[in-house]
Amino acid sequence: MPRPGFVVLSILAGFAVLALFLRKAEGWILATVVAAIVVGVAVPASRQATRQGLAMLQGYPRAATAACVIGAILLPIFLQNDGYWIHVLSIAMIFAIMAIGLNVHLGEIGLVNLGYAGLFAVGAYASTLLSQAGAPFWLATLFAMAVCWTTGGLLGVCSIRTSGDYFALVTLGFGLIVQQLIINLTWLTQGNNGITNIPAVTALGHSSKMPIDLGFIRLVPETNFFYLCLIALSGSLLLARHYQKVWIGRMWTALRQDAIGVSCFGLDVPRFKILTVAFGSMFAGLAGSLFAHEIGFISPDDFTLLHSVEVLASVILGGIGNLFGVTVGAIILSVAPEKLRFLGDYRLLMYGAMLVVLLIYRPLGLLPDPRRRFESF
Amino acid sequence: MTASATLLEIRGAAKSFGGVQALDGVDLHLGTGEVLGVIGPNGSGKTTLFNLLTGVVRASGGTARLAGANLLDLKPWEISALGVARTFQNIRLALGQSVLQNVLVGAYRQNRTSWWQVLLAPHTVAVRETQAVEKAMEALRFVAPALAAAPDRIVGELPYADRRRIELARAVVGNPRILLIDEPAAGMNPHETAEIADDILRIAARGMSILVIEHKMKFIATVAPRIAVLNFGRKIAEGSYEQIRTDPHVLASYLGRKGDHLAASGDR
Repeated sequence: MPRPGFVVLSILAGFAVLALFLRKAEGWILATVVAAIVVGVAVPASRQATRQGLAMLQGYPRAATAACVIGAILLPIFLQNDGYWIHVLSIAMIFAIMAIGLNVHLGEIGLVNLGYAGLFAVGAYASTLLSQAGAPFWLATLFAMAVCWTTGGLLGVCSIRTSGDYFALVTLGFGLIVQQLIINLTWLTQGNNGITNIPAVTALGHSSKMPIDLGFIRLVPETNFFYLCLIALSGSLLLARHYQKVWIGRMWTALRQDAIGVSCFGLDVPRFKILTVAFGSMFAGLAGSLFAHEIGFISPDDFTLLHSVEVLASVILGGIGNLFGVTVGAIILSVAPEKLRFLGDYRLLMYGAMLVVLLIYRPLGLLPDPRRRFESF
Repeated sequence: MTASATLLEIRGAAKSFGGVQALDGVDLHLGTGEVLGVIGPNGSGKTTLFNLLTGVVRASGGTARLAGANLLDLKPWEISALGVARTFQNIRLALGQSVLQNVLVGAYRQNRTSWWQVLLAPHTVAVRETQAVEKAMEALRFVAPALAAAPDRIVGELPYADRRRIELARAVVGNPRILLIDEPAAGMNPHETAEIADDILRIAARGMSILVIEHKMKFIATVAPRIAVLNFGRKIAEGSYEQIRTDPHVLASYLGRKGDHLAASGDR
C-alpha cells in the first residue's frame, strides 16, 4: 500500500477507535486502557515511537490533514449519533480553541496567563448580550472577538512593564476582577443567576435545535454545534498557523528567547507584545461566543480560576508551542473527566495523578514543539 | 577629524551603575567607511559603550550624534531604524531555529508587514517574505558561504565559530550604516580568529562603518587601522596599533606593575 494511503487509513481508523472507546469503554476495560496509556507514556521507547509516528504524519502533511478533517466530519456517525458524546466533543473543541489562543501567550512569547477564563467570559457575555439584542450569531461572534482583542490589548498595555511571572499575577487579578464584575453588574449580566435563553443559532432557515436530515440518516441536533465548532477550530488552527509562518512567528520565537536582541534589530518590543496578547485573546472571544450559544446558559461559575488553570494545563500537557499538540491536549483534558466518572469521588484524584505522571515523563508535553529542543521551560 | 566625513560623534558618554562609573565621559568619532577598534581590560566599559549606543542601557550623560539624532536619547528599535546593527559578546541567537530563520530576524526592518496585511493581503506578505529570504541568503553567502549551503540547519547543533558568523550575517543583512561588533574572537582558536578577521575585513571592504570591540591585540591590529583604548570607563589612548602599543598608559593598564613603573618614568 502506498504510504499516504496508509496514513489516511490509520488516521480514519484512529477516529473510529476513538468513537468506540468513548461510547463503549466502561468499568474495568476503561481502567485497563487508561492504565496502559499511562504506562505506555512512561516507557522510554514510546517517546521514540511517538516521534517516528509524527515524522511519518509530517511526511505527508496534506494526506494527514485531509484524513483528520474527514475523520472529524464522520465522527458523529462513528459515534452512532450519540448526542451526549457529540456534545462533549463540541465542548472539547471550544476548549481547544482557547488552548490555541493561550498558546499564543504562553507558547509563543512565554507569558503565563492565569486569567484566560476572564477573557473567555468577556467573549461569552459580549456575544450573548448582542445576540439577545437580535444580532445574528456570526455578528455576535465577530463582536465578541473584537471585544476580546481590545480587552487583551488593554491587558497588555497595563502589564507591559511587567514580564514573566509578573504577567501571571496581573492576569490572575484580571480573571478575578472579571468574575466579580459579572457577579455585581446585575443590570447587565444578571449576576449569579446567569443569563438564560440565549437564542439558538439559525442560518438559511435551519436552527441549531433541529436535527440534520441527510435523507439516509438523521443526525441529532447536537451535531449542528459539533460542525460549527469543527469549522471554528479549523479556522483557529489555520489562523494561528498562518501567523506562525510569517515574520510574526519568527519574531515571537526570537522575542521569547531574547528580547534585547530583537529590539536591537528594530522590533518595537512593547508594541509587538501588546499586539500579540491582543491576538491571543481574540480566540477567547470566538470560544466564548460558541460556548454561550451551545449551552444556552452562562453564569459566573463557568469562568472561574479553575477554568483558566485547565486551559493552561492543556497547553502544557499537549506540548507548549505545538498547535497540533495543544489541540490534542485540550481534547484529552476535557474528555478525560467524563470518562473517569466511574471512579466516583476519586475522579479528580485520578485526573490529577494522570497529569503528574504525564508531565514527569513528558516535560515538554505529549507532542513537543521541535523549536523548543534547546530551551528549558 | 579624519579625512572622511564623521558619521558618528560620541561626546562625553557616561554611565554609572549605582556607585560604579562604568563609563566616565568617553569621546570617540567614527568616519564613514572606517573601522575603529576599541580595546581595554575586562570591566573597562567597552560593552557598556555598545549598550549605550544601541539603547539597551540608558546613558547618564553625553551625546552620540548620528545623522542629526542623539542615539543616547532613543529606544533600541529607533536606533535600529537609523541604521545601527550589532552583535553580542554572549551570542544571542534562537538556538532551536534554523540558520536562515535567525538571519531573517535581521531583515525584519525592511520586510515587515502589518498584522492586518498578514490576514487580508497574504500575497503582499508572501512577496515581502520572499524578498527577506533572498536578502538573508545573500548576507549569508557573503559572510558565511559554508553556512549558506545548508541554511536549514538548526543553530543549536552548530559549533561556536559558526554561531558567531550567523550573528554577523544577521547584523549585516539590514545593510546598516554602522556595524557594532562585540568581541567577535572571544572563545575562538587562532585559526578561527584569523577567519573571523577576514570576514570583518570583507564586510569593511563593502564600505560599511564598523566599531569593533576586542581583547586580542593582534586581532584588533589586523582589522582596525585606528584603535581607542578604554580603562576604568575612560579613554586613555587613541591611535594606530604602533602608537598605542608603546603608549605608557596602555602598558600600565595591560601589564600592571612593570607598566606602572614605565608609565611613571615616561610621564615625568
